[in-house]
Amino acid sequence: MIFKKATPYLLILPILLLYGLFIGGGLIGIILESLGHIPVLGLHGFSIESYIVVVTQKNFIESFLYSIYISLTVSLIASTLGVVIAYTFITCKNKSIQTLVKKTLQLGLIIPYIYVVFIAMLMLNQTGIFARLLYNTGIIATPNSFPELIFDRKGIGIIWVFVFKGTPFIALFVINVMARISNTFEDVGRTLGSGSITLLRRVYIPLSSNTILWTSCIIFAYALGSFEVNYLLSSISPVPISARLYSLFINPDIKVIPQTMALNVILFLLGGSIVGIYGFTLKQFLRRISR
Amino acid sequence: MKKIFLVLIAITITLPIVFILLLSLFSYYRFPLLFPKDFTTEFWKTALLKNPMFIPSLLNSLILAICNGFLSTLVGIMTARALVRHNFKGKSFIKTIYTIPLFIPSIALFLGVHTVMIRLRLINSYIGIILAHMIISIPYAVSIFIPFFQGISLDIEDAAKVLGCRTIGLYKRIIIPLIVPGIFLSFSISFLISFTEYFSTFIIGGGRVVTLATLMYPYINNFDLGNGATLGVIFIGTNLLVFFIAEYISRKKLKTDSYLFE
Amino acid sequence: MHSFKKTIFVMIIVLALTGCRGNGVKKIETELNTWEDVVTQGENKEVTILMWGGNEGVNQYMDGFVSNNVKEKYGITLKRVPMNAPEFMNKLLNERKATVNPGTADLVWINAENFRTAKEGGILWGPFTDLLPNLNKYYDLQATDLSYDTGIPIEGYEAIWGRAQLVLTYDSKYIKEPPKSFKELMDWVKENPGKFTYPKLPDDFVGAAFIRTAYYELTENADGFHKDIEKEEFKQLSKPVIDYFTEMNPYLWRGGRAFPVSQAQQDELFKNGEIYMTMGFEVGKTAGLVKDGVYPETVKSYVFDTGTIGNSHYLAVPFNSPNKAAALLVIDFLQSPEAQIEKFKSEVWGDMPAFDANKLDATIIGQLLEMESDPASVSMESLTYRRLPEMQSKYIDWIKEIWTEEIGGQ
Repeated sequence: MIFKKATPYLLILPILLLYGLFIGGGLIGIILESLGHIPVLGLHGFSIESYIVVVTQKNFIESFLYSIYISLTVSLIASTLGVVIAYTFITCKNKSIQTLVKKTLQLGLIIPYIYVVFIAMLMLNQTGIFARLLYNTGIIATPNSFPELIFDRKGIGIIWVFVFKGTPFIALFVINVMARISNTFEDVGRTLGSGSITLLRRVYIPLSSNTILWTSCIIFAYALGSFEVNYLLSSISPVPISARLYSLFINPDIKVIPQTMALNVILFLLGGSIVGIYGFTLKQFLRRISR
Repeated sequence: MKKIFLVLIAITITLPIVFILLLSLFSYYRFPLLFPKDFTTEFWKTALLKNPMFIPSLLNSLILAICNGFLSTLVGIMTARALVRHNFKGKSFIKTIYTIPLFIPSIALFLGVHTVMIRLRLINSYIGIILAHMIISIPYAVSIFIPFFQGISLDIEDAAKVLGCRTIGLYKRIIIPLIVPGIFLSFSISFLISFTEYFSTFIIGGGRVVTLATLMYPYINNFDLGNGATLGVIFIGTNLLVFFIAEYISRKKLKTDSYLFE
Repeated sequence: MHSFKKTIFVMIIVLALTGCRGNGVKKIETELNTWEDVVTQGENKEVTILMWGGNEGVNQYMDGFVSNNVKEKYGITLKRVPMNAPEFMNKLLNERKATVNPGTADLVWINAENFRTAKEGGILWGPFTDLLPNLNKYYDLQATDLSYDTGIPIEGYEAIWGRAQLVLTYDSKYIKEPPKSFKELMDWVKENPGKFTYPKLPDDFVGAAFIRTAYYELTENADGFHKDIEKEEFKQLSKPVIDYFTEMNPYLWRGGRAFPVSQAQQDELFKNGEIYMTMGFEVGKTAGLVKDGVYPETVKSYVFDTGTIGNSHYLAVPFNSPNKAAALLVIDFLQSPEAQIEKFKSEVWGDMPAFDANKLDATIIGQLLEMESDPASVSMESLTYRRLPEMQSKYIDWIKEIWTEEIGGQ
């Protein structure tokens, strides 16, 4: 009897340990270091000075807003595209095209972010493939007349990379859900005389809204918090917040460690909340369009 | 119309990857050349033969990814089972927090995890890296298994119990066969996450555990087209191969069609 | 009640994990008093070196020539791990925090501000340079860069590996007369808008060296960089440099809104003709790339008449290296004339030897002279003559800060 009562606790023990120890413990760890308490390196202080330094740094707010702008744009484009692809996929009854698309979407899932950065540089640069194409056809006279698509202030390059990776991710998960809906509800919908768009709005989106919601949130959070893409493709200003954190992280100066950790704590807590707000708003939006 | 759209999507994803393949085989690619020229096998020789880190890094990647795939799936099953079948204190708490690692900006998350790993002396170790990868794989695993457990009706389980099935038998005969597609899906996703993960592997592995992902990063960072492209082809190829094998097994042996997204 | 039990449980697990880890660590204090000790203790071990992996020439030199030789000579297996200096600094500082000993790295490639942090943070083992036979035989021990690294006393904690100097590279197809000073560079950049840039500070080593070079010409205060100046005074001193680069900024590649993330990316832009000049620390690299056909024959390298920053790089042993003796054997081999000459070959790496040419045998000198006749490379002599000394490391930090605040990020 006791054993039976303990079963659920035993089942959740691993996840609890893992999260509690590493995420909870990690948060405590970075808070301690951010307050300037790293005894081994001779830092014994307990002050919020490092937070003040970080927050009052030039363009700090701008960096944060810029990152939110990137994440928002990325997740909205990727979610829309992902849902459209999934819906087209489900309603396109051609087996061979479905197989082809499924395979390529899986390929898109497999290819690492860092390679998409590589591809972005190859394609979008002013001497990249697109520029070469236009140059060879005589549309542009010099590479400089090709628009700035990477290392640009609008973050087009960064957004492109996250969309390239995020869309297959969202599409695959949504296809997975929509495939189950497909047969049951479609006939009902059709007999009731609804068109494609209505069907998508009234049947498909409501039934897959949970999946859309959490995949979209994941992409949002990823765009906010991954440093590789942001670091390698950003212009000099504004700098995405995660790139800023990475720059601090690799700064060899020991005195900078508390500041690094302060920014880390800020990103940890604020980043999490922003994703929460995004998720909540998206949920409301999805509810509204399905009415 | 729909077909054209879908084919266009397929091309958009495939073309750049084909291009990476070309760059691993041709050495000369200056503006305004449209396609690279001067065929060479030098990059492949460098990657496969001259680079002493290549084989160990490939093995490391595979070991970590398989361990992570296995363990994350296990924890995923346990957690999902508890959430669906049991009532316990803090259930709603677990329900809200199990996805949390995915929503914390990864750089912030891992720098935090790193500080704990340092204290527990798990840096530079395989265990440390696997635990870190599990943190970002488990949320997927749990979300995958929840619908599977919801799909198993209580009646079946009760019937089995009435017929004298003990817990182990219940899992072996009833539950596992029903969630096999989920196991494959969860394993593949966890495998992929671990295989691709750069940042956590790098900081926690501290250079002692070099994986394919950490091996290729400097090449991309330094924009070394040929060598970077070659490792990229190997990376994508290895993944495809692993997935192909998994798909083959799931088709032939388990007679399930639904592998890695239906 | 439950949460209390959980906490206890977590604590037990933590203790258990730390406990068993801690017990497993065996500490072996090595006594290395003579070179014989080093050889006997170092043979047939494995040496892990952490080093910047961005130059395939350097990588292959390590994985091929060096690895084969130390294997043959001492049975040492050399394991090269590509890692940027800031990253391994971070790793070692963290291991120091956690008192991880033995660690996993035996050698690091290091200099300047990283060396300072490493020394301050106590993450280096030493002093060890007295033990090295090749260093004591073939090197000029009186040379400044054997006692000071960017103003920081070395005190035996790192061993010189090579000397480098900032070299500019241009394509004579586009530029007939390359600018020979920062003054001329400004005019040239204004005439060719969008065709010049430098790698982004603060993270790129080369970009930072380029700005430092400008300090020498523009502030006319070369001596000041070796005396102790307060930060405020240094900022005052920086004014002409800030003005210069602010003025130049709109004429740079991408109008100065973006900079290449790394030297390698700058090279890539140069290769595609997006910019007309590039720069780097490997004196012979350009010649090597011309030979390989990566650059056309019209590409040449040179240094400013007003000089460029010269810079030495070193090898150091981390405090927690598991095979310190073997690490010393590898350092000694890397310092041998044989390895230094191989490294100098333009098709290999093109890094200047650090030994004293006067102490070498005639045959080795002959090899050196032959290499210098290469038309695409800059001769060692012209370099030594225009070589500006490195600044104190704290100024390097300040310059990075000033650049980020005043020039970039605008």
